[in-house]
Amino acid sequence: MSHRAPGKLRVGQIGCHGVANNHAKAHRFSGNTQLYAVCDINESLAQSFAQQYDVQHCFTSAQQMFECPDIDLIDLVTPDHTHASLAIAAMQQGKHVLVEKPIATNTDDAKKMIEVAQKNKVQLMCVQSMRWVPKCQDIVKRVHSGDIGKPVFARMHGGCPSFWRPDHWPKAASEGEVDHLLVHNAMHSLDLLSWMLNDQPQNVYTIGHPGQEGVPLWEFFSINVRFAKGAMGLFEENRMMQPQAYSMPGTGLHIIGTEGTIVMSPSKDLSVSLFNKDGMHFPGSHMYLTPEEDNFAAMIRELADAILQEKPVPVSPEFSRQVLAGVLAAVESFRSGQPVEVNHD
Amino acid sequence: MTKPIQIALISFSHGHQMDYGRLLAEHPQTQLVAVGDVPDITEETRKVAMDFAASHNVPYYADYRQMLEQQTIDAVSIAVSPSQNPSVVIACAKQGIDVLCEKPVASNNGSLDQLAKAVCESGIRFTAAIPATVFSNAFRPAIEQVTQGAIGIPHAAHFQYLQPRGPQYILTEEKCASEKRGELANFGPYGILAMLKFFGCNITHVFARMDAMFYERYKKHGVEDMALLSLTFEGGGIGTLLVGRTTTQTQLATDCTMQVIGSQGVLNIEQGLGYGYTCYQQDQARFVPYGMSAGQCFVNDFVKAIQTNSQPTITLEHIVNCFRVLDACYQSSREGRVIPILK
Ligand SMILES: NC(=O)c1ccc[n+]([C@@H]2O[C@H](COP(=O)([O-])OP(=O)(O)OC[C@H]3O[C@@H](n4cnc5c(N)ncnc54)[C@H](O)[C@@H]3O)[C@@H](O)[C@H]2O)c1
Repeated sequence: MSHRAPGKLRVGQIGCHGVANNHAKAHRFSGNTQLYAVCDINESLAQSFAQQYDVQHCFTSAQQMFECPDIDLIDLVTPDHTHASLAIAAMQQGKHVLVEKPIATNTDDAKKMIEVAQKNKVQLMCVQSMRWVPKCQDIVKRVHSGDIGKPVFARMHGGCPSFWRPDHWPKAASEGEVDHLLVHNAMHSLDLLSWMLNDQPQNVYTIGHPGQEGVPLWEFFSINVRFAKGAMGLFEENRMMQPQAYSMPGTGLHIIGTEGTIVMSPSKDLSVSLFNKDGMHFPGSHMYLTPEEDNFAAMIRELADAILQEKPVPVSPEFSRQVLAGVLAAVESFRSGQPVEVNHD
Repeated sequence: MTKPIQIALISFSHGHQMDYGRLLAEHPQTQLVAVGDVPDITEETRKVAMDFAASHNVPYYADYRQMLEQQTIDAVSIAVSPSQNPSVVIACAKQGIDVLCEKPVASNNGSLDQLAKAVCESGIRFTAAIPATVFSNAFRPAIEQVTQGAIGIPHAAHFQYLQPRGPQYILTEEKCASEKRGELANFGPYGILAMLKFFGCNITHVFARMDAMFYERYKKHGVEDMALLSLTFEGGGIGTLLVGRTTTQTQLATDCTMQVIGSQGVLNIEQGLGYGYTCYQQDQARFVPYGMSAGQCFVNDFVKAIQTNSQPTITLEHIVNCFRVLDACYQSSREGRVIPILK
């Protein structure tokens, strides 16, 4: 057994492709986690990934990894349909779990995951990486501290063609999931809006556009939301191939409160403007991600802190479950063409 | 030289008559011949009309019908109340008089149908005063570009119009109580019309949420100060619209923006009410556009349509679709469902 660094959680990461790179890099810079082992059913992928990130232990079976006593935290970066079963198996072995979004593919599975975490006295958190983009953090701090009164409207918009994964299209298309983008991505924006408003989605209505010819999946969705405490929200999932109209991460935010407004403009270099009774402010206009310290690293640092200090995790799994319920309702709305009440059971 | 277009103004029940009516009356190719009124209006608005007539040296008629009989009129600008609009428009149409009408042009679908029928049958030029966006120096060239294919086929659009001038400008208690419609009725047409122009086709389905978020008076009467719409167009295009009157008074100018995403590009309008300068005075900010104002362009467009015997930019079809959409929005909000738009 290798030497355990003090104040650092040992991480076993499952999934060595795609966004897995963001996770592995984040463990390098988090300061309180150490990427100890990696696992992928694709052996050559697992090996080259282990080499790339200088990780000593490499698995092709998740179950074997869960049985390894040296690992504290499982970082689950596998396809959506595997989240519930892998997370439950890991927690049953006493591991804390960070699971990529969505927490599960249905709310019953998510409920089961939360129960297993409680029963085994481990922590479970779903990745909501957008929350740790520095400007989002700053904006939410201001909203929550009452800078714009009670928030009554929040909108998130923009899009990133570069996040469109053509390798995912054939499978989704063959399964008839033309709303793949909605099913798999809407939780980012809906989580962010729910977090800002400190509320849960209650009723959703979705419209969409297929986008360019030749792409088998629909490329644009717009979701109109009513939140439980009365606020309204609007967000877009957009992969329509655009000229470079947006700078990364291509996201605009607009929050209106009873006493002010905050705007983050995607077209004006993501500058943030705050208008309230005290005047006009331009806070946080120079908060950017750096190559070393990105939002994944900040998120993982905060999660590991919570685990090490036995505090609640920054994103409660119940919150992620409610957001998932909202996303599933948005999907149902798109398919039925009518607004849908969110089922929070 | 061609003969000037003979103009009459009918009522000053809406403040816009002082803008568009005046611009029409003072246009170089027109000549104001008379000012008329509808019976049963307040002394205050009657006085405005009489003063206007006196200052322009033209006769004032307490009953516009008498004016129509006695004067030779080519075109009118009508600013009576919405419920009175249809009968006045129909009376003018019967005499072949072209009409510029204040919005909303009717107060219900039935009277709108009658108005539309009369306008169609008479073949007059008819337009409604919804110029703020489509005639602004930001939207005008943008609509032209998109219509010429600059971004391919428009697929999705978002429009917002947030008026931040706050409490002192909100609807009066009486208006809230009598009309039961708030800021969507007020500002919504600017966005709906812009959408119709960009997409070049009609709206088929609407879903709307609306609420009184900011003002007690609106809450009390169940009148909206903010609305969020999701729209579907013929051919599959989609749009969203956010309108409201916020309390963010430090955000001095109206936040009017629009984005249109097309098959080959994106168009962003960041200052929808146009480019210009803002003059900050003690308790208000006055926006002065560079070049011609939206109102002036709108009136010029109407005059040109009369002179060239062509359709104005804001057509009867736009006005009817816009009206039906607005009506459907209120129904959608009440019933919590998607409403198809009547053809
Ligand atoms: N937070 C974000 O910004 C973000 C971005 C992209 C994807 N995601 C999420 O991350 C997850 C992974 O997405 P991706 O696009 O990187 O996927 P991917 O398909 O590129 O990679 C998934 C990897 O998991 C491996 N895998 C599958 N089942 C496994 C199992 N049972 N045991 C071990 N390995 C297994 C596959 O072999 C593959 O290498 C998804 O849930 C997705 O929704 C999040």
